[in-house]
Amino acid sequence: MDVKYKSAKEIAQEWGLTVRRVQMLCTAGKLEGAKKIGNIWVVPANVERPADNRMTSGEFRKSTSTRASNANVLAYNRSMKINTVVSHEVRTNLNTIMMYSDMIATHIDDSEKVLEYSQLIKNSGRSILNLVNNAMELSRLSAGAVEIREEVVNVESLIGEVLETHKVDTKRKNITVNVKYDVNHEYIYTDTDKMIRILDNILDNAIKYSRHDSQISINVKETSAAGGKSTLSYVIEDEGIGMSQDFISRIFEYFTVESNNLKNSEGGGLGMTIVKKLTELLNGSIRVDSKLDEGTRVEMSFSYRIADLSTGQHMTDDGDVDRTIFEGKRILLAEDNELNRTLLAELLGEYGMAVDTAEDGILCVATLEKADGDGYDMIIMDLQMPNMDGIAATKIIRGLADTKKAQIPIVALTASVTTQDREDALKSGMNGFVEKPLDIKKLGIIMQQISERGV
Amino acid sequence: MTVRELYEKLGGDYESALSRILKESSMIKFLQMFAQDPQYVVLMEGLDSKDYKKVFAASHDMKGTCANLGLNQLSKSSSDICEAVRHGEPTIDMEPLIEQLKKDYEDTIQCINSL
Repeated sequence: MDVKYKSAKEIAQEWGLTVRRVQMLCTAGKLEGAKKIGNIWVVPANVERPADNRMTSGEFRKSTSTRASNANVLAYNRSMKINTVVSHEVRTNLNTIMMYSDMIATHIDDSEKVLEYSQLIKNSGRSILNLVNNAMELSRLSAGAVEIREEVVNVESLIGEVLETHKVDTKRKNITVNVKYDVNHEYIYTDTDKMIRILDNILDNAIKYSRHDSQISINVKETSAAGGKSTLSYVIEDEGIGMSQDFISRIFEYFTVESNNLKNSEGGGLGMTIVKKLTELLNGSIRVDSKLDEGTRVEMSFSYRIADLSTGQHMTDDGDVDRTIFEGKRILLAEDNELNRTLLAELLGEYGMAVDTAEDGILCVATLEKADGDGYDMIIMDLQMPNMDGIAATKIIRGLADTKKAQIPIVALTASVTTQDREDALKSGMNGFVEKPLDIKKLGIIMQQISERGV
Repeated sequence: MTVRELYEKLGGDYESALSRILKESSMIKFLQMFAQDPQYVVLMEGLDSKDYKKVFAASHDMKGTCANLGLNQLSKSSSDICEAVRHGEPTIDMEPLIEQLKKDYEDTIQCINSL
């Protein structure tokens, strides 16, 4: 009889072991029928995995060897459960992929069918990817080996990105997604990848459990903004099959898939566990309400540091600016045009600020470095300058060894800003914008926010 | 010509310029500085030599300066040039834009000189 063999490497990948471990099992005679060809071990494809509790991933082995506490046993059971479910899901999806690949081969002349099948293949591929991502994320989260990496991001485009990846699914089920977005501070600091994973998983569920021709609404609202922080609430509602009260209470546990959903379910039930853990990690809150046959409502709230403090355009422009905020402030003004520089320096001086000037980015950095003590309270920087522009100068300043100087608030001064300019400037580490002609009130608002936040 | 008259004649915004610059004496000083500023010459040089980077930088500068001074019409005509060369070689006919800029600039200088 023909025996199919797999390499030790393939077996190792399949079982989640190191190649070395599989080789050891071969040498120890634990894998029946394994043989060595040259330097390589091959193993019959249908070989049974020996029941050996040391055969888990390296990370887990470490924890069991130290102390076999109840928690570890629980963790072990969970990890075995993860392995089982993950491999089941991966197999199912891989089978789909192989089946439709064959179907494409037999219907190669029917372009409509080919297109449909390739879409199904893509969906399965995406499911696997999602599952693997979730499983990895979960194991990282469980190991506590996750760090938060904040960056400047525009929440609206973040949601757009998440929606884009689900376009095919919503189209397939003819689901209308209504997005309402009511936010004053477009740019905030957060861990983009984690935020995307959270929204992605919730939307994924909403679509998965939605009926054909139904609606999903996404409502993002800034509920408060103070002291340089903005709180956003996200409400995602669907008209899907919903969940029972009993199930909601367990929704954040591992592998919960409600039994009446089973035949429709895919993805392994890791999603909400991850959502919960990531939400906690980002200091957010989450609440799930649902009624069977009516739909599900997920509400989350996150508080972010505001990246763009210059959000004057949405603010009501009333009353005079409080002059005291300006008095005695030391400003470094970088602007290449002599006229603008003199005009601004004089204007800022009128409001009681002490102004030093620099003619380009290089001189700006040099002036800051040479400054005594704490240096300046703020830099107002033209974006477009010869020799070194404002963005390049900001990047250098943010990397200065003197941390006090490296964290100085920097406000961009600019005649026109495209969205791209804005994003580039914020990503370089700038804290906001004032437009030419300089509106002293807007500058006042920014300074107010900076002093509240204590940058 | 008074400063207010200058703004009325040039389609500028006297009130908002004053509210920014605070003092009329400062406004006169800056308008006169503007008349001496080389950015217009640089812009024209750039157009002659088709150095669009130079044109962009100079027109961008000018747009900002004029906006600061409340010279809205001139700010707009320099902004139009600035946008046309934002990505290098212009794809539209520059002639009418240049004509407009020349006219607005000359009007402005004439007014400043008769302050």
